[in-house]
Amino acid sequence: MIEIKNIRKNYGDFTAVDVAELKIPKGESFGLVGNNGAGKTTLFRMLLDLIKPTEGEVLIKETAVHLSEDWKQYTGSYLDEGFLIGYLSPEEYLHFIGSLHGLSQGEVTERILPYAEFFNGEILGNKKFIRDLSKGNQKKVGIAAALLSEPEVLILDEPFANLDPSTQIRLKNLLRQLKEEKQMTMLISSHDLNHVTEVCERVVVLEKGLVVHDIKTHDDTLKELEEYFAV
Amino acid sequence: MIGKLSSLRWKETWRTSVWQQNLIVNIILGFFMVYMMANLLLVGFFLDDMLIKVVPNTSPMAVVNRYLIYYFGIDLILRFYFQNMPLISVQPLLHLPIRKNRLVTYLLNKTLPHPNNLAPLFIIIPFALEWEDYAPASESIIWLVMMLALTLTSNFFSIGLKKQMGAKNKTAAILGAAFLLSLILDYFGLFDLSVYSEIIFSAVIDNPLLLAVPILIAIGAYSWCFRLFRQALSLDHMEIKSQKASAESNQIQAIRRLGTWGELLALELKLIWRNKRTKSVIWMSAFFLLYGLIFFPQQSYVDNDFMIILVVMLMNGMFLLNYGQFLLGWQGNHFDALLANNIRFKTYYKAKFMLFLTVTAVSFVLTLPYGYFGMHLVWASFAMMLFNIGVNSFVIMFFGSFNPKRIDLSQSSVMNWQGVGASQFLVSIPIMVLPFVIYTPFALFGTPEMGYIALGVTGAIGLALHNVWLNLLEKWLQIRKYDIAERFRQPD
Repeated sequence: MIEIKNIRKNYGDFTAVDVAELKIPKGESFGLVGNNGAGKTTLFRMLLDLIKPTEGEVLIKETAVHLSEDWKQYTGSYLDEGFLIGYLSPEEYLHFIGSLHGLSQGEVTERILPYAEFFNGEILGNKKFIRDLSKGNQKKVGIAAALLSEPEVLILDEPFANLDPSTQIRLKNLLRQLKEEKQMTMLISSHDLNHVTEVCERVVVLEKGLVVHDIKTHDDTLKELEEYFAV
Repeated sequence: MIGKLSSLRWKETWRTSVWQQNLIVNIILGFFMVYMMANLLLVGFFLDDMLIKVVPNTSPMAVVNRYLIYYFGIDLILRFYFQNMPLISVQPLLHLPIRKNRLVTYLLNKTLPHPNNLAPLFIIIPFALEWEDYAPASESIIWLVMMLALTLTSNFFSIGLKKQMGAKNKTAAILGAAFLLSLILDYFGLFDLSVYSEIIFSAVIDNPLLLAVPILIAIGAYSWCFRLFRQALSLDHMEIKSQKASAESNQIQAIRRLGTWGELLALELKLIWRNKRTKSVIWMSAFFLLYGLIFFPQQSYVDNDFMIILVVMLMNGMFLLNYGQFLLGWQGNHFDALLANNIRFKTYYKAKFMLFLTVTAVSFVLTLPYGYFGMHLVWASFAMMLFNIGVNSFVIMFFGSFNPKRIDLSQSSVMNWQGVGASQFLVSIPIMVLPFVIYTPFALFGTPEMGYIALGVTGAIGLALHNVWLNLLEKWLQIRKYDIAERFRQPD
C-alpha cells in the first residue's frame, strides 16, 4: 500500500529523516515511536507531500505522492492544529471536509452520529469555534475529520496525547475496530509505548531519523521497547 | 523588582513581530515615524503664526483654549480605538512572588509610552515655548502642566472606561454621538461649547491655584483605573471572550452548493467575517469608496486623466490590494489542511478569483454615483473594474505566493504590522503601475477615451482567458507549496 524508497530529508547539515526502505502492506496497523526530534512528524509530513524529501520518494498504491494527487481521495490524516480551521465551528469543519470527499450534508450528519460518545457531548452543537476549544477537544475534531471519509489509509500523529483517559480507550477500540472491519491501513505515531503496542501489529522505532527497530508486535514487545528507551 | 519588570517590558516591546522584520521594512517604518514627528513639530512651532493669520486680533492661546475641549473629546474617542490595556501580559507573572499592586503599577505605566500620549507632546511643548512671545513664561508653564495633566487623565480615563464598559463600539458610539450633538448645537448657535472651553482653560492660566484641579483630576483618574485593574487581576478577567458560533446564513449555504470552489469561497467569506483583522480590511475598503470625494468635487482633478485612473483604481481595487497582499497568509494557520485534503489548487485559486470578481464588481456599482461629477468617471471606473478583475487579480494571486507570512487573525489591524514584509510593499507596485503602462500610450498619442478602451479590452481578454491563468497558477503553487507551507509552520 505504502512504500518508502530511500527517503532522506536534510535541513542544512542536519539529517532529520533517513529511511532506506519501508513497506506497509494494505490493512497493516503501523506504529511509529521515538523521542522528540526523532523525525516522526517529518516522516509523516513527507508521506502527505507536505514536505519535499531531499532525496527519494513515497509511493502510495505505486504512485508517487508528489506526482499525482489521487491519494488524497482515500487518505485521511491529522497531524497537528495546522490541519484545523480555527474560525469554523466543529460541525462546519466536518461538513467542509466531508464536502471535499463529495459527501452531502445529510451523509456527514449521519457519519458523525457514532462519534457522539467520542466527543463526550462537548463538541457538537456547542456554538463554539474550533479555536476556542481545548487542545484535547481540538484533537478529537481533527481525528473525526480524518476518519470521516472512511479512508483506506489513515495517518495520525500523536493521537493519544492530550486526550482524557476515557477517550484514549475509546480511540483505541475505534482504531482496532476500523482495522478489523474495514481493513484500514493505519500509521500512528506515539510517545506512549502502551497505546502503540496495543493498537499496532508492527512497531518501528525511529532514532535521529534512522529506523533502529522494526518489530512485529507480540506479548513482550512492550517490555522490549521499555528496555530500549530506558536511560 | 522594578528593574526586572522593566527589562521584561523592554524585551516585550522589541521582540514583538513589528521589529523582527527585515531591515528594509524597519527602515521604511522608521522614515515614516521621523516624518510624522517632523510634521507634528512643525505644527507645534508654527501654530501661533497660523492662528494669528486665521483668527486675527485674538491671542493664539485664547483660540487654542477655545478648541481644547473638542481636542480632548476627539482624543478620548480615538483612544478607544487605538489604545489597549493588555491585562493578559501579566498572566505569566500572577503566580510569582510579586505584589499585585506592583503588577498594576507596571501595567498602568506601560500605557504611558504610547503614540497617543507621545504625539501630542510634539505639538504641546513647542507651542508652549512659542507662548513666551506673547505672555510671561509662568503662563506657558502653567498651560503646559495643565495639558500634561489632562493628557494623562484622558489616557487613564479611556483605559478605565474601556475596561468598565467592555463593549467598546457602543461606548465609542455614545461618545461620538455626544460629540456630534455638541457640534450640531454649536452650528445652530444654541450652545457654544467653545465659549465655555475658553472660560475654563483661561481661568486656570489667570489663577495658578486652579491648576490643582486638572492635577487632582489626573490623580483621580489614575487611582480609579488602579482600583479597577487591581480587582480584575485574576485569571477569569483575562480569558479572551470567545465568540459564539452562529448558524450559517442561507446565502453561505447557497454559495456552498456551487461545488468545491463554492465551499472554498464560503470558507473564505467566513474567514473574513469571523476575524478581526480581515474584517477591518473590509471596513477599510468600504471607507476607500469615499476616496473620490476628496478629489472629484474639484474641477482640476475631474479633468486630470491620470489622476482619475489612480483614484478610480484605488477605489475599485482597495480590497484587491489589501486582501491580496496577504492572500495565502490569511490561511497560514491551516495551510497544511488545504494541502493534505482533497483540494485542487485550481479550485483553490478559482474561489479567490470569484471573491475578487464579486467584490470589485460590487465596488464598481457602489461608486456609480460619482457619475454626478462627469460621465467619463463612470467609463474610467468600468474600464478599471475590468482591468482589476482580468489582470490585477491574477497579478496579485501570482505575487501573493512569494514570501508569504502567516497572519495572526485574532489581532486588530489598527497599526498592526504583523506579517508585513518588503514583498508585501512590492506586490502593490505592479498593481499600481500596470494600468498606467496600458493607459499612457493610448492617452498620450490618442485620447483618454482610447486609454479607457485599451484598459477595458485588456481586462476583458484577461477575464476571458481566466482558465489559462488559473491553470498556470496551479502549476506554480505545486512548485512553491513546500516552501510556503514551511514558512507558515515557523513560529513568529
